[in-house]
Amino acid sequence: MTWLALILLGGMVALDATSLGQLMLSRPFVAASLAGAVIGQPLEGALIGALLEALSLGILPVGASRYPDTGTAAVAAVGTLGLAEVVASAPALLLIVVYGLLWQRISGFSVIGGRYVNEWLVRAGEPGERPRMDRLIEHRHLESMLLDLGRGMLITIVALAIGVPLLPLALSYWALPNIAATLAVSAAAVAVLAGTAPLFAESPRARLVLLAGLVFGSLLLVAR
Amino acid sequence: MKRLPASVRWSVFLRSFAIQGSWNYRTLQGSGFAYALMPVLRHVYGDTERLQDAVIRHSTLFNAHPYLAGIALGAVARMEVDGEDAALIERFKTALRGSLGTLGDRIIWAGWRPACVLLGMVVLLATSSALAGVASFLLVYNTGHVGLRWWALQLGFDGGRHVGERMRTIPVSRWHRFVVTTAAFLLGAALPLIAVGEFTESRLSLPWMAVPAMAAVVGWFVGTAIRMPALIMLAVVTIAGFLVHLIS
Repeated sequence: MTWLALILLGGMVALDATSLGQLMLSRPFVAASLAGAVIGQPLEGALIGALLEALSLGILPVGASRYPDTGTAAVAAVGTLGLAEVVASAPALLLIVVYGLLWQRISGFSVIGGRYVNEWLVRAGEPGERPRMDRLIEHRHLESMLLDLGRGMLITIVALAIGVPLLPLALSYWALPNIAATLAVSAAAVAVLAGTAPLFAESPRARLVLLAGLVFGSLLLVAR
Repeated sequence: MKRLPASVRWSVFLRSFAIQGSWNYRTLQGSGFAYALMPVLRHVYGDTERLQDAVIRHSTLFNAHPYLAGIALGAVARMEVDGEDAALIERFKTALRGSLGTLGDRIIWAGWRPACVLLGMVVLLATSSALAGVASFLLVYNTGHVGLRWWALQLGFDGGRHVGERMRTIPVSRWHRFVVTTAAFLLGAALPLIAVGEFTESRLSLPWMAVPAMAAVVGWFVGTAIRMPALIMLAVVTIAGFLVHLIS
């Protein structure tokens, strides 16, 4: 049942990313939180999602650019953690984040493939071939969305099928101290997140606001 | 000026959420544009040969930011209802699509979305509540998102071929400046919360915090290009973990 729910979630998130809605269920930290809820570990899912989010925030889907598919990969990563039934230790977190990043790439390639399939579908509905263009366009459009749903589900199935048996095995062969894993994940996330600063803090005033936020965040940390 | 029935407007609005459903490298959003506009075309032309011609005309290349595509959809719907010349409508779409793409990329993808994501992350990391983090993000973001889609469509319906003049009166720069300044504050707040590494049972001690602090400084100066080196570093540490096991 958990497998089925994760696969459906993977498909839904893939659909949300571009084809239908764009309600941002496909943002890594939302998708990962939903996957976390499915596996019964919402907070762990959300925290993994926050890391994947920090590593993806600067990716902007402008124009016809090609970019990684972050949502489906987040579902696959968190689903792998839950189904493999491993403790969310620092090495497990590192391996899951890396696994999620890998699937972002693979799933991103499948998006490109899907767009070429769409091109073929749309081309198949060109004038002269069928008399009812209005119905044909609607059918092709709905078929494209169904294909995207199927793509997301397939990516999730494959990622879980590989990841679930592999994660415990990989953990038993991983031998650096926990602090190395925590530092690597934390430093990478912070560096990429800080790298987005030029998007928001162009002016000296905005940089001051960012510093004020830094103080606020530090105070929140101390208060906890 | 003829009015479109509310049912047709609603239908176009709902279909606009699927405007990218058949996105492809040849017509980009082209067939999605025709799909979203279909209720208007059926209303205007009925079940005639002219409907088929209109569908073909609107299935050609088109691309805009998906949330702002409603401006073009609404304006083109108005022009079709008013019986404007097909060649004029085509030129109008061509003129509008570039600016709608650039504007949306700037104010939504590079402004509103990251600002809301950062809000959700800060709430999540500050409260340790997945529900609070996700709900705050989805609620704030989609209030703006759905409102923008509706507003864009109405602006297009009302403005028709003159929608460009109406768009010029919108204080986009002031609004964008407010959003990115808020995002800057939230980014600052998120950095220490992420840096502490509290993703498992333990958090980094103060001396170790120097490592993510240095990473933040490097990221700040390198900009978005830091992503690839950071991912390579993660891969190197992962592989190193396996190599150490093999050696020992």
